[in-house]
Amino acid sequence: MRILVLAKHVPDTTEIRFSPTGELMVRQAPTKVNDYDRHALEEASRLRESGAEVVIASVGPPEAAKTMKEALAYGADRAVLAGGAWVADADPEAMAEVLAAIARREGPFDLVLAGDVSEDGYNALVPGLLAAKLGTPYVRGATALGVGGASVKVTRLVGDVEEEVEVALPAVISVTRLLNSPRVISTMAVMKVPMSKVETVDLAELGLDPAAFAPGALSTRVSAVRPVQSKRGNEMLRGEPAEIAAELAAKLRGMGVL
Amino acid sequence: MDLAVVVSEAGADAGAGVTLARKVASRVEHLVIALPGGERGASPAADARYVVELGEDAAPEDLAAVVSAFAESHGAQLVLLAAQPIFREALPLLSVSLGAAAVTDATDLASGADGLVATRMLYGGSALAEVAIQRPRAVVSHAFGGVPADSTAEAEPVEPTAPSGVRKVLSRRRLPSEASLKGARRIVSFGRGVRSKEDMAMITSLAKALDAELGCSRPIVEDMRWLGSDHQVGLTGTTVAPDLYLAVGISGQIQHLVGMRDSKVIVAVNNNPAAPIFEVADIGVVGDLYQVVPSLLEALGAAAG
Amino acid sequence: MPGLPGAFHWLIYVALVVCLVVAAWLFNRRVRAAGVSPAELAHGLRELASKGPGEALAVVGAEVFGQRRVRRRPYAGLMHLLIFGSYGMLTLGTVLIAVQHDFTGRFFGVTFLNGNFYLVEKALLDTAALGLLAGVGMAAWRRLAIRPVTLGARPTVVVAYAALAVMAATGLLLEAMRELAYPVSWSHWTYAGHLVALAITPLVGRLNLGAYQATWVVHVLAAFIFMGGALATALDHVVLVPLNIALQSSRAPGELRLPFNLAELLESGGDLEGVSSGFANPSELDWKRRFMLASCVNCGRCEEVCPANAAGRPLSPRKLVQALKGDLLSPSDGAGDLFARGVLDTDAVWSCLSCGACARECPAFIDQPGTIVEMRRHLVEEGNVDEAKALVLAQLERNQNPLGLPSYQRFARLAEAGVPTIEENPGAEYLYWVGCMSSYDQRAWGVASAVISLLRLAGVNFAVLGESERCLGECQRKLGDEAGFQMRSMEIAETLRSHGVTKIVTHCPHCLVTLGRDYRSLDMEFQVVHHSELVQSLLAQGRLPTPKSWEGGKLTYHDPCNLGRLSGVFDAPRGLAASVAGESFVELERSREKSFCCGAGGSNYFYKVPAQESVSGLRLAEAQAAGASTVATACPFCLSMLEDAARTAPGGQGPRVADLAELLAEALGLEAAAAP
Ligand SMILES: Cc1cc2nc3c(=O)[nH]c(=O)nc-3n(C[C@H](O)[C@H](O)[C@H](O)COP(=O)(O)OP(=O)(O)OC[C@H]3O[C@@H](n4cnc5c(N)ncnc54)[C@H](O)[C@@H]3O)c2cc1C
Ligand SMILES: Cc1cc2nc3c(=O)[nH]c(=O)nc-3n(C[C@H](O)[C@H](O)[C@H](O)COP(=O)(O)OP(=O)(O)OC[C@H]3O[C@@H](n4cnc5c(N)ncnc54)[C@H](O)[C@@H]3O)c2cc1C
Ligand code: SF4
Ligand code: SF4
Repeated sequence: MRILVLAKHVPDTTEIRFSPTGELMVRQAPTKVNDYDRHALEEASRLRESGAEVVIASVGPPEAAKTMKEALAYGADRAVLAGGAWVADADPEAMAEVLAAIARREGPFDLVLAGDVSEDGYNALVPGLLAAKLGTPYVRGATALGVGGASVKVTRLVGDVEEEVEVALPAVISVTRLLNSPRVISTMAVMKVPMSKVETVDLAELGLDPAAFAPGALSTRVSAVRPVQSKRGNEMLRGEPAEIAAELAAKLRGMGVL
Repeated sequence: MDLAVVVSEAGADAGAGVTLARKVASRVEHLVIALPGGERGASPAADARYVVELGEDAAPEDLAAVVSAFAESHGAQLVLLAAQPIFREALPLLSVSLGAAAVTDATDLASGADGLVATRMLYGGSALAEVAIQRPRAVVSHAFGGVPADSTAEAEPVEPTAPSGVRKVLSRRRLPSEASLKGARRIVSFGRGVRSKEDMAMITSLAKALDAELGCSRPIVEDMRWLGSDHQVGLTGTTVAPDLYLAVGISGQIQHLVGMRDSKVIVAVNNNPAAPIFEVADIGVVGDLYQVVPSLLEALGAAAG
Repeated sequence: MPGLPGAFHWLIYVALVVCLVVAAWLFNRRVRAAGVSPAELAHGLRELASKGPGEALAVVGAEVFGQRRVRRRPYAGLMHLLIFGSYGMLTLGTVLIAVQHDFTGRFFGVTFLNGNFYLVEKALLDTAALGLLAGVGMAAWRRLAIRPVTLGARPTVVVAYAALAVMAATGLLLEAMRELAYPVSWSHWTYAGHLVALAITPLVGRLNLGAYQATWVVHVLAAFIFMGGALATALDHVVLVPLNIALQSSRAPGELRLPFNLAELLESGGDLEGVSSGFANPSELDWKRRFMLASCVNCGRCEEVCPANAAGRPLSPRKLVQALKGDLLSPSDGAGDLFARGVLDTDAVWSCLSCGACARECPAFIDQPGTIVEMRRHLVEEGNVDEAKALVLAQLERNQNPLGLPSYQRFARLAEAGVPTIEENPGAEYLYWVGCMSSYDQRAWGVASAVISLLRLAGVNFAVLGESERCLGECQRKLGDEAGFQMRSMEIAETLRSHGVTKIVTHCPHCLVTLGRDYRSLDMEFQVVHHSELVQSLLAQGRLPTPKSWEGGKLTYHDPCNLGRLSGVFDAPRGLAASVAGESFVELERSREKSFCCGAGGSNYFYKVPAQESVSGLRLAEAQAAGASTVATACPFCLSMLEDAARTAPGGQGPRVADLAELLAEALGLEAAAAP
């Protein structure tokens, strides 16, 4: 069994802020493996213990090599990191295109595991786009996996309905945090991963045309980023209980949270 | 833009989708996904209304195929999907089969100089990004739940495509709604302001009225032992981020706050105006919970009834 | 010797040699069973000697001859004193006789056991014989009647004590027989023998040489059985414990073993493959730590003082050490680490508060908390920890504080209070290390606010790091992520050095221990003082005024483990408490070295373990029992824990809990530095 795991290098969103002049400050934020992807890595590592080969694929900046070491520490054979100046502007579609090229080059794979969503972009698109490009089935939201023979059974929660579905392999499955509890990766465990396990490739090596990844050629482009006013309203209601209760109910309704 | 197709499930109001699509398209068609023989739901004022029947077991692949064929044959430049899980799963498949750009969780749409621009959250909600669409077609899902519709025009039936058979549904069961704070949309949480176990009933009713899960501060679990630890929010309990977090009689010590500060809307009820919980609240109600909660129940009940 | 053929006399020496050989053989077997080779032991002792044995000797002297820790418990202390002291005196007496008889007397005609010295010696030896009997009696009573769970009456133990008793009794009997055969005028000096003589006078007719010789043989046999057998088996602690004390004597309270120095490891560019910081099984431990585990006498002192045990957590340090020792001596079956094999439960190692109470009591100098941290290190390296702990480690990496709050908010309150950063005030005498608690916790900010006001009033020139301050990782280290901790330490030390920082003041004892002792062990040296020490000296120098009179009722002081027991700071906080509350200051029952943890140590602030009671609740109850209406402390973690306990105290709101700095600032009528 051969497994490809998608692991994304992301900035920690709790450390992202806007400078007093309104600029987005992402650079100094610490980076890490996308939380959802840790669950995919953990699952793959468990499958590896029963003989599977696990390859990690990622698209990211050069610093992502460090993150790959962390991803490898879960227990994987090697990692392929595609990068280049174009990464800064790449959209989910471009990411999926490159990941598909990695999957083809390193493949064939029986199973592709990914996170449901990335913490920074939060698009929840890449795994589905990859599946569509590879022409394989795609199931998202896995809370449990059963890989056997030529198919995979996926348990997942859709609203408050729990369903179990089965799709043929090869397939792309994206997972939730309910899937498992990833092991802790200690500093020492990361240091023990040799850098030689991380292979860095560029578009040409993947047989892709760099022109197709120029900002203007992509399907989308982020044209502006602005802060969300996260300051709480701090609106204080005082007075007659009945009155404030009615006022509160009305406000909540207005906010669309009821 | 000439034509946008808004897709939603029957029963789920599609008002938000149509309103959003109207901002960028001159014609808006509404495609309702309904169960065979099931209700068609209400449509907002769309220019045309279609319905396609898909079985309960219908897979996202089948949905993608139907919508793709519909959008293709009608020549839609924008497909706007509702926020339900099945649409989120179908969206990437749909975008690839239409060769369209894909954007999820849009909070706004606008027509820019070079075409469509969608707004969406980035970085866990700390930033908003404007995403310019650079393809002739786009598949977008929006971030809004049901918004009331205002018309129930007749719908023209659309033939479903043949099931793809890609996935087999082995089982499906509705889960009993146990305390599952993680992922809850609404949480009513209480603390030591509630004086006795009997008084908890009042809080439970409030949670029920709001269709919310029940949370609490640590003393309720560890000192009073009124609830199990799966209800505890905070540093040593669960970290939650619901749409609405209503804190009743909770002082707001940091150990509690770190577990709920990411909630979308925070409301606090406390009789101490200096309680730290008010610092993180969107709306603070200064008052005795023994008066505020019954009144609130009444206010909510009156609206429901 | 009267009445014995000469051959007997020389036989003793033969027997002595045989006995020593047997003892050595048994001892060798003993230590080998624990996986220690005598060569290693010898090497270790030589090494100790070459490094200057002064400290080790002083510690061994105090603990073995002074019985410092053993004495802390009256019954066991007296029993040990009687047995150990008496046996020692008797041995010495016997050696003196042998030396005079077979060496100085025989070859040089010199005798020294004469005159008054001889008489006094005789009297002392009689006393020792009685003492030994009393001691053995106490031991028998303890094992048979009191029966603490930790002690049983194993056959080897019965033989050992019986041998001692027989040795003492027959010694007196021999003395009595001699007196009856050769009456002397000074028999009242050998008062015990004399009494026995009086008692056996009626039997005198039947006393003959044969009876005397038989008694003598029994006496000697008993002595040799004890020396040759018991000391290397049932009572092997007599040998193991002093050796272990010597080997462990240089360990400071609470000091953790450095499995590696990461800086050196990285610099050498060596292969990290085999490197690990903890242990999966006791058999992997180095010989010193195996020897240490083997030295446990199962006395239960650690268990008695352990706050985790008192709160009904699944941890008894005694059982833990015994389980490791048991597994070391005869490993249980099964594969995997000691948790997989069921030697210990992981809950046991996570229950420990790293408070050091056990290690301070342990008469065998066993390092229970350090051993526990080493098992945590193993669990962390294996990735075998639950979500709560994983989250703390992850948040430290991401947000540079264990609470998971944004790193850029760390400076917010300080900035509002107008405290300069070290960049703004490079000439500052002290760097004030604020710590995570006061940077993020509104309540703990009160402590920082008070410290700032006091330092300002006294005109101390200080600054803070501001946003570049980050968690020192004390919790990370206690959770077992040693490499992460060392990595962090190197970076922080670099930041401090880049600002030319040498003197640091902090109000957090956890930071104090880390920046002080722990950094020193990693070859990074800073002078660190606790705010209680600095403020107390400012008061003493008159740079701070004496506070007004106190009307807050009884004030007591809770010694934070990291400040008191682990750093030895006891008097400065008491000085502060006294200057605030004067005569109203009361001590807690468990104070100073004996302090009882608040429940936050060893990273326990951040996760839960199963327990019957809360540690903080037990401690607060003690303060309430002392009638305190205010509990002062000097650690933001203790403050948080005890205040939490006070909020939920049975019978409504408990006493007020505050930091000493807050109380002093209040007594001086200082405004908060700046309410954020
Ligand atoms: C400064 C900035 C500029 C940006 N500009 C644009 C832009 O111009 N246009 C635009 O559309 N987006 C832009 N983005 C968003 C960013 O490109 C997306 O994060 C990325 O395209 C992937 O989408 P996602 O992270 O939301 O993935 P999701 O679809 O949410 O990810 C789901 C899963 O897919 C896998 N995955 C996703 N991406 C990768 C990857 N790179 N490597 C390995 N596995 C992966 C992971 O398993 C992940 O859990 C920008 C982001 C930033 C920070
Ligand atoms: C290591 C550690 C970990 C912790 N982990 C957690 C955790 O995970 N989760 C957690 O919640 N706590 C945790 N705590 C405890 C935390 O510090 C607080 O003690 C706790 O959150 C307080 O709970 P509370 O707000 O219910 O009680 P209180 O602080 O006693 O607050 C009760 C509030 O109710 C208000 N009130 C009283 N009567 C009324 C009334 N009639 N009407 C309206 N309001 C009223 C009061 O003004 C007050 O603000 C932890 C503490 C420590 C030390
Ligand atoms: S560890 Fe020390 S204190 Fe504890 S039982 Fe063993 S010898 Fe006694
Ligand atoms: S350090 Fe403290 S909590 Fe840990 S075992 Fe020793 S006494 Fe118990």
